[in-house]
Amino acid sequence: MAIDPAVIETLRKQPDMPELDLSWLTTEGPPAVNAKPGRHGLTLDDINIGVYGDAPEVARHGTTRVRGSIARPGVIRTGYYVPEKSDIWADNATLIYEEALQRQWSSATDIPWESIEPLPDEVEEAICQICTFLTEVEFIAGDAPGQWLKQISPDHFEVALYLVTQVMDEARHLDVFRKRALANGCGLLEATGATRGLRNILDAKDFTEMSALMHVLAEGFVQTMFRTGEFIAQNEAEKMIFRLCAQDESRHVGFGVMHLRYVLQHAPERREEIHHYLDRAEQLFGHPSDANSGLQEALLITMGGGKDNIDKGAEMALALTKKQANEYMHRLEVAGLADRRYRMNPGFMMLLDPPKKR
Amino acid sequence: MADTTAEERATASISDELRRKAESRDWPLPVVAAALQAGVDEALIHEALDAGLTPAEARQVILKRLSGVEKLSMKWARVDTERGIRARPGKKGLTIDDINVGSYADVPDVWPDQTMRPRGSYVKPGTVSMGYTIYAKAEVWADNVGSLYEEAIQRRWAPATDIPWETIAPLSEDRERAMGQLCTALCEYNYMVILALGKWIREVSFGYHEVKLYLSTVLFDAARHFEAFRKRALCNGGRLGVQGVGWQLAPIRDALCYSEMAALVFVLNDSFVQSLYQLGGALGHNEAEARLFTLAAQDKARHLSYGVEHMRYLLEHQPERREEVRRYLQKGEEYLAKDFADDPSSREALAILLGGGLEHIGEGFQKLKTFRARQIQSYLDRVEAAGLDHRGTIWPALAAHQSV
Ligand SMILES: [Fe+2]
Ligand SMILES: [Fe+2]
Repeated sequence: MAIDPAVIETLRKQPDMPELDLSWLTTEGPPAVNAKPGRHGLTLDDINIGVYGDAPEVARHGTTRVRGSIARPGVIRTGYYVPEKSDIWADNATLIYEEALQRQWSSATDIPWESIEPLPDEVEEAICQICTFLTEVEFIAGDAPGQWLKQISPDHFEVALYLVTQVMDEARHLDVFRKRALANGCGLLEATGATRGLRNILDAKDFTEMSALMHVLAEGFVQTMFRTGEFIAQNEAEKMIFRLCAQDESRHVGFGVMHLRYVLQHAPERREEIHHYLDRAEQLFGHPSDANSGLQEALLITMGGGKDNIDKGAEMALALTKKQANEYMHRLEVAGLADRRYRMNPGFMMLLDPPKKR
Repeated sequence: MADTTAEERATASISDELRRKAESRDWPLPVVAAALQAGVDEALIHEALDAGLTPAEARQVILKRLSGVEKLSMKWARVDTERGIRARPGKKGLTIDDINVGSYADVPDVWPDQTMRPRGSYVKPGTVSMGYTIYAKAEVWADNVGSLYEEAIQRRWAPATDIPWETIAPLSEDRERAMGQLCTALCEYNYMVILALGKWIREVSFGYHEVKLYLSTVLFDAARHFEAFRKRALCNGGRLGVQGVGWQLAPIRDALCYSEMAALVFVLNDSFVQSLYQLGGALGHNEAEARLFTLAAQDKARHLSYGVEHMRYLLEHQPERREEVRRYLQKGEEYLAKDFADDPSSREALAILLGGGLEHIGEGFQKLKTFRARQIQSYLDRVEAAGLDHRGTIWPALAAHQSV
């Protein structure tokens, strides 16, 4: 049922009627749609119908025009966006975005803070050292996606929305570890200045470089550590912190793996370039001989269960490191970078289990 | 097959003798190569092989030799930071303000550190800069920033599941189109906020982590609003409208200092957007829209609350910046007035929604005049609450909309 032009003509003739344009009301434009909610409510995938769901291979305008609206000529640009979809895209962005919204939690009220009891001094200090490290480094994964947002075109808005959820998650991570450090009689200790590997993430001039370094490598390692958190945790509160953070982190890693996969599928010529980024990042990031001593010692104490038990702690810490390297390799395989196995930094390569026989 | 070649390349450096021995004991060559590359002495590998260790056992030995902490230094536990902090949860759980205890609560006027060092912790001298640019508290601070952060988290909602989308019922085409047009404008505005805040959040130094945390929630709100209004436009037999003229966005894009952006977004433009959210909630089309606009307005109230408190803090602590702030506002007002003048699509859509249909658009225009006057009034009230008397200095082209 279209708008009747005769009605508009009659309106135009009414006394005191301001000048009417109404072209927006009669312009044909993309078709009308009727998205319906599914099992998970009305999701982004539910509204990605026809042209509205068509994220173009190349974003060609520099304005805030939303995908599927009618372009107006003469509008000022708001930024220089990354034009190529393959440079920023991941097919799971919408899914992770919706999941992130469903799984938000509060560090104030969702952690059983009352379960924290006084700990032996050195264990409390070790927990606080780990928390100091984490409250220090977590938000690098908020600052870095943040600084990329201004380059994501509204034609590829799904990526921007996902990145925003990551910033929000990392805010909570910064916050929850700070809260833990200040909750049980100790305080913050030594920030590690773990900036060699992390500056690298902020320095990245390419989105895929940033994502591979941050999502796949750094957050991958953190994710494995969080998932091993039950061995670090001394009480229910800490277990819950690690569990909830791990859940968030798996979304971040998941985006990175799927982005890398998308790049390798759509721009296979970038394979060697990506290896170069990882060559340098692995070298800076976590070569065992370059390990961060405060964090390392704190892990031995917490995982061993005290200062006198560091042999057990060392064994568990080594198991964690191995798990980190193997899971990293597995993520690379899923992303389509299985050939990294033989050029990985030796410090990591040594930790790898032999590849599964095919 | 590509893997085999890569493996051959990776293991080329192994001496023939070691290779033969490793192969005879079923040791994976890449592990041997990696150990050599990592600086493990070849003799140690021979030793491990001769001892009959399985590859897994040998790896354990080698790794311990490489990375094992022989004894604890505990240096990190002896740094000079405040101890004995035992923040307890209060009525609202353990909030970010609850942990501002002792020296951890000291938020200095100028933050001296370019690293990621958390406030109250120790960092070794020589740690490199992370490139923040905002080191002045007054530039970003508001006293309510911590409580707004926690409130944003408590009041989170998901457009997918917290809106009763099933209550959406077909509207006449003119009204559906008008709603689509309004949603399009709201999507564009929220996208601009995402672009702008993403940039600014990264500039704030770590001494003011509460601000970084709070801004993360604003980003999150903006993403949700973009998403929610897009969903509304596409779920009721309608569509998105025509792109806006978008002058309003230019000053936000241009802002060169944080306080400029904050005045433009959190005081000026958010104030005008809040009126639109409230209007949407009052239209009474259906429960879904009422809920959607009401939840969006609840978020927006936090943004405005920060905007006003921040401006007040800035003007109290840097009173010499009063006229500067006024100019930022005037620039924003000038552009907003250009939108009012140049963008028939948004004013006509509003007139249709206010009037209750195309045939009542004349009446709608009358109501729009009152609506504009109220928008300006609410905006000026907020500027006044922030400590700036701006009634006589508002940009003339915008002031013209004050009279009904
Ligand atoms: Fe995190
Ligand atoms: Fe993360």
